Amino acid sequence: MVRIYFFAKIKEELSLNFFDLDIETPCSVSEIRNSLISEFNSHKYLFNIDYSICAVNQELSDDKKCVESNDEVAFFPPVTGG
Amino acid sequence: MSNKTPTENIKISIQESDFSIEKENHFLSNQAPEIGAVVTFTGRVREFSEQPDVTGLFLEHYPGMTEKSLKRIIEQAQQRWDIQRISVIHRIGSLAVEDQIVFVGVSSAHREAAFEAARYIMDYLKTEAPFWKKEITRSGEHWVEAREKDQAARARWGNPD
Repeated sequence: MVRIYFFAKIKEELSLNFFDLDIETPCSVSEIRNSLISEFNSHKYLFNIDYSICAVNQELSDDKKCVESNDEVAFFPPVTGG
Repeated sequence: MSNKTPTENIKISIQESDFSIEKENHFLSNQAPEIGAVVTFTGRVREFSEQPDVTGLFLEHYPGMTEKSLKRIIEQAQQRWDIQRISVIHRIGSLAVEDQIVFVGVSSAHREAAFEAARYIMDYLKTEAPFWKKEITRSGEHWVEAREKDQAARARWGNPD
């Protein structure tokens, strides 16, 4: 299991601050992305690679990044601060 | 020379409350005769953005990652330029038009390093630090979309990663 945190529009659209994803670890960010797409099929655009960014242990991570069960994983839209 | 250690030369603050540019100027240059230049940038909530009639903003961030991300951006700037003190403040929560939202201040012996480092920090903050803006307008609210021109501004600096 991996706990996935959501922010901004993703958090709002899903009405979830986080979700405990049932997935075997270690796995890749890409596998997590695909599992989230099937889990939240009606909102699958939120997990499209062009739409959301993944951070693993608070570092921006690409889809090849390997995730362990205790890692902190977050998905969020492109940032818009400043 | 300043007696301050490198950590004391950096200030990062994510806060709901407003900030004082005067206080930041003091932090950036007090008791430092070697500092010859202080460059500061202040971002404000603008009335007209993606849609007209913006009345305010809501700012969300990723606690923990935000601070880490800003620290890394500042460290990259310190590697690139000979700069003395750096202050970065970003407000979160509900803000109104005309409110101050972000501050970046850099001090240095010479103006060139201070100007460039301040711009570098701001360009990276806009494209890497995990903040999200929601605009509140008279006709509703919406999350702000990321902009190509911010990516282009960052790309000017090359890719140090």
